[in-house]
Amino acid sequence: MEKSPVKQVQKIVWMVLAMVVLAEAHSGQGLAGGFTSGFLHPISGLDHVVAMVSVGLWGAFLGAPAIWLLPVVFPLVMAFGGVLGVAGVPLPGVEIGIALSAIVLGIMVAAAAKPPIWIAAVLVGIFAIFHGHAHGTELPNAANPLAYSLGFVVATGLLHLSGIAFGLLDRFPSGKIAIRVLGGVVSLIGLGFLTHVL
Amino acid sequence: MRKKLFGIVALLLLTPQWASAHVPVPGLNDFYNGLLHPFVSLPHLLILIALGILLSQHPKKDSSMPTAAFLSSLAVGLGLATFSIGFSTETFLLLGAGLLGFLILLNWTVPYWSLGLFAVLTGLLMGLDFAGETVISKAALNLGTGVTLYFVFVCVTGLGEGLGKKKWQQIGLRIMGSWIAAIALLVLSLLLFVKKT
Repeated sequence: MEKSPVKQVQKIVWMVLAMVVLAEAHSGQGLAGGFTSGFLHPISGLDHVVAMVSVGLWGAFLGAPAIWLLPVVFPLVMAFGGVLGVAGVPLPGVEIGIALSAIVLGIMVAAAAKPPIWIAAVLVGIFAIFHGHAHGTELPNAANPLAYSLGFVVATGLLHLSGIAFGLLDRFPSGKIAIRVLGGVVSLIGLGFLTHVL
Repeated sequence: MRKKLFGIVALLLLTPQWASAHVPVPGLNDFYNGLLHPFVSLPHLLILIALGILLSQHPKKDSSMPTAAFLSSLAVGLGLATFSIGFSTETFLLLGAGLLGFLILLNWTVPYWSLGLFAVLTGLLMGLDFAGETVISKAALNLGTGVTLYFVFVCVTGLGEGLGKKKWQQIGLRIMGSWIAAIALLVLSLLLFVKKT
């Protein structure tokens, strides 16, 4: 007795649905996985993103040499914070520090503050330690720590560059206003993280 | 102070290494695996890029001897590795990458002889690190590895020399130095503080 084609198709469909699904998502293992997870770490956290972008914004606003000094100082000091995280050295209030970094840097941009370069570098350096500590704590669990480090340092640098690129609008009067408004938005976002609204 | 420093160096040397032998890509022969080899071994790429940028920051007349020294020592290192003479040099490569990254960041003009020394050490340590590979033809693998390393080195040095003329390009190179030093510092701290599981 021959079964109807519809029933045969139905059976096949049920069998397919009942099958164990093989690797549905990319597991993020190995070198590529390490780089991807490291690259996504600073980008996937809004608190990190706004702080990094405002470092670039502020650097551009301050002009030379801050425009390049701040993005150069930040990764190195962040790495130092990362070492503390990897070593398990407790740093109280990491999340508060990260939220404060967005608030303070945002205010600096919004107010178009131009302190001496060393004050700007120290301020950015202090906040970099908090960001680095957060990254460092995650580092030992990464699939490939070197690729993870590479990914997150590159992502951090690119966020700075995007901030600098936006900050270069300050040569136009309307651009200056746009940057200062963005600074205000950044500090509000930081406030949102500090008060757990975000 | 000296004792503490000695202790830290000794700890670093005793730290567990990540797999120094990188599993070749199945289906490819040893030469092609060698060509791809440096791309799956990030400490090698990191120090190679750092050395290339550092050389490009110096006058062209100062970079010819270190370039020759690097290629010669790389050939010696890979030759020794072909006869399984060598050891895992990942820690040293990361230390070197950190140091070179820092020098790039500072944009210092280092003495001519030290450029040659960095080049020789980098080439030798990179070559010796490939001694632990388990493949059918080590000679083919190391030949492929040497070809890729040579081209990457030439490309980085050439790009650095081409890019390092304008002020903002020099700043870009210094930012890269900062990134390299940061990455090396983080991974070294992992080697030092986190035991391999």
